[in-house]
Amino acid sequence: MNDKMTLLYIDDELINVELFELNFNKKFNVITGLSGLDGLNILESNPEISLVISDMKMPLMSGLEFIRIAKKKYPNTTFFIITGFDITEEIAKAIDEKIIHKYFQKPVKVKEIENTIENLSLSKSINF
Amino acid sequence: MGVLTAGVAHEINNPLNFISAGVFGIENYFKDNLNDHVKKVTPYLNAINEGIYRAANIVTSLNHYNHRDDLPHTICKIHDIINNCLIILNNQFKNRITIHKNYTNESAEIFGSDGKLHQAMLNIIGNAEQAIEDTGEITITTKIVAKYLEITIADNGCGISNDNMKRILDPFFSTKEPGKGTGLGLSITYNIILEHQGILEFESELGKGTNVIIKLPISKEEQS
Repeated sequence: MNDKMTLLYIDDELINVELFELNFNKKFNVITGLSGLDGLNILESNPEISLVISDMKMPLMSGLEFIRIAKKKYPNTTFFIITGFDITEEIAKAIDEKIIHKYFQKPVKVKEIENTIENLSLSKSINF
Repeated sequence: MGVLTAGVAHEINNPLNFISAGVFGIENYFKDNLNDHVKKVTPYLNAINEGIYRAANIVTSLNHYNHRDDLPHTICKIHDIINNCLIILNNQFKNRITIHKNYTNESAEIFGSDGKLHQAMLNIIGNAEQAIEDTGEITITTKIVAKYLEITIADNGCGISNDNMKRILDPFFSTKEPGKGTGLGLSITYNIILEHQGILEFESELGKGTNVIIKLPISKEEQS
């Protein structure tokens, strides 16, 4: 094992998943899944995951539905959501309730996500 | 601006994301493996990134007009909504159509759906623009009449015949050239106004122009 942070990326679009892995695997251990259900199973068997990024618009279970279930089980994990829209009421509500840490808009800016994660790990290490 | 357009705009986000993430990967690959070439490929990468940026901005602005039934009603400032629509249509007006605004000094606020009211106003003002073949004028007047805010959009364009007037609210009825109108604009607008307990009226004379009058109940929450 290396000392890189492990993060989970969930998106129903395979191309997004492949590109995310390629763009982020230098700095992070990236695990990916194609649905909210995938995400729940992966979280179950990979307790080292400390951060989850999920797409919002997915069939069967939306990104937010997935995160609401997962956050209950893994309250110490940080969750981000990616949306094609501007912020919606339900996402704003989830941020207020501290279920989601932040939302990102598509098209995703890799640097923006990297910076957010780096700031997050900095502030966490200070708190420790 | 139909519902369809907004839906399509949303679907463009994923392919846009492929391009954006793909070009980011290529850029990094060059930096890591072909550093001598970075300078030569930078203009191409910049062009792609600029394209992504512009397309993403268009999608964001179209999203504003999307059907978002999940959004609760809020206080909507009608003058701001009209002004936003005028900005969107500015290219169509340029050097051709003069806009006159006679806005009331009283507060023009409606309790409603910001996105849908944008869509309704954009349809009406867009129709006024398309009714003017060459040069002309559009006058937008707002005033408070009893408990209603009355918005009149008057154009001096081609007008509507009596026969057509009976059908303008029918879905898919259009007198525009193919590709210029879906025939859904006024029917969607009518439904939006109804949802807001409002009234939609038309006065028109062939060859002289059309007045569209929208009456919307003034925000009930204003007094609180």
